[in-house]
Amino acid sequence: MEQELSLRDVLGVLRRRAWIVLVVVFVAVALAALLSYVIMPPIYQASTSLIVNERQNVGKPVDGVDIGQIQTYRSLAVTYAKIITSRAVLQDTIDTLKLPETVKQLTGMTTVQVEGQTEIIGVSVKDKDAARAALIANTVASSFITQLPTLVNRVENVSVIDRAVPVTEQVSPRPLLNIAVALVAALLLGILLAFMVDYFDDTVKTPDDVKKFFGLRVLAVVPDMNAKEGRHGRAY
Amino acid sequence: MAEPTKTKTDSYGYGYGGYKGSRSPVAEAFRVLRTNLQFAAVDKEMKVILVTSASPNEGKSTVVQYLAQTISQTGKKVMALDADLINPTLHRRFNIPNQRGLSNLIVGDADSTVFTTLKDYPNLSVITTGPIPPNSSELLGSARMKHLMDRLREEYDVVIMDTPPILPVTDAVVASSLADGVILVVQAGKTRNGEVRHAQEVLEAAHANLLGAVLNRARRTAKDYYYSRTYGADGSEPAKPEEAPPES
Repeated sequence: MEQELSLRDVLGVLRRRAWIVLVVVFVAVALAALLSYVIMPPIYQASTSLIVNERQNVGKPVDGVDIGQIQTYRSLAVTYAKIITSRAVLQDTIDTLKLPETVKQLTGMTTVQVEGQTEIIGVSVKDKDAARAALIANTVASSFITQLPTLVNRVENVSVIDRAVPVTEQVSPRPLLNIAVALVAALLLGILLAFMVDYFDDTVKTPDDVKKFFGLRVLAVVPDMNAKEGRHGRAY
Repeated sequence: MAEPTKTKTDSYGYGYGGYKGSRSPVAEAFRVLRTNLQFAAVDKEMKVILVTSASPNEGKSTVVQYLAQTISQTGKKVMALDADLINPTLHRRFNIPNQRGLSNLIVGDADSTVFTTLKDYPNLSVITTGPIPPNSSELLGSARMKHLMDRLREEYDVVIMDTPPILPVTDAVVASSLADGVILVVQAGKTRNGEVRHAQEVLEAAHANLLGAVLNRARRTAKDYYYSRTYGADGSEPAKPEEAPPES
């Protein structure tokens, strides 16, 4: 249509093509729910955290806070975080637990990060089995601790703060989030589709069309006789 | 006018006793059409009305049937003439045989015995097509056809012609020269803009008097504004059983 689109036209299109939007939204939400609840296996994540500090400090009287020392621990934490995902540590974990995974797969499952501006290292492992995720996380941590002296000359004390425990809440998939995203995306897609269908539909639809496009007089508008209200309803 | 107790219905479940006196939106739509046609002719007598459409199956015969019935209810003598010599359907709608009809009249081997007067509509007569000829447009353009139309003009107040669609065949354009006015039936949501425009051009080129369009099968969505304004229909109000046409 060459005419500019008024709000009334837009609403009219949406009303006329509401079924397209509804179908698209329904299909998308159903698909998202199916994916989230049935097809995609639930993934659980277990986390453990390690802290880096000096062995000698234990039991020694504290004579002031050494800023330089803390800085050292922080940069060490970053280095150690890299070491945790090294082949040596992960291979040790695989050997210990006799895991079927390769080092590469285990690297994909494991996330290591230094917690902000601290000397704390977080190790998270994702797996389909919550208990197994916790076991691997703990083993990665202990492998790291045992492997550390053979890998670096400086030996700092690395100790476990929190052992990983099985978490029963899955980290992915997140059904509600997926469904919400699908809903919004499908709504937009459906509306776009509705307008496209309307744009390519060049049939005469309303008495207005007859007047506007052809300058013809509309002698009568006959309602659909197959529709119930057309024949059995009351006109006035 | 007494409500007919007959339950004769066509294949559309809508018999010619169907909506007499009915207040249904369809019945009212045809009353509107009748009135509009009446006022379309202020300077010229509107005796022969040709009903056509751009493409097949847009509801020409339906409009012919109901319009003829509706006009006949005013007491005028109405003739419904099936000039669709290619794919005739009017006889089926009126539920009458089609052994002899228009084609016999044109070639001259029949007289007014082929006029069928309907039982339920005493003012309404029908001429069916008769055997389908191979040269329909030539027959419609013949002098004998013209004589027949002159005769019908004398005998009837209104003649309504059902014709083939405009775009595939030329019959309706040929027949339009016999008519005082042409109604173009447009099916909402089916007839394309280009088809209507083409049909309009063809009719204008033939100097047909295009009275206007009948928008058929208008849907609820189209009705929100027009349908309710034009007919005062409140779609949300359920049909009252006692208002339903007596068809079952």
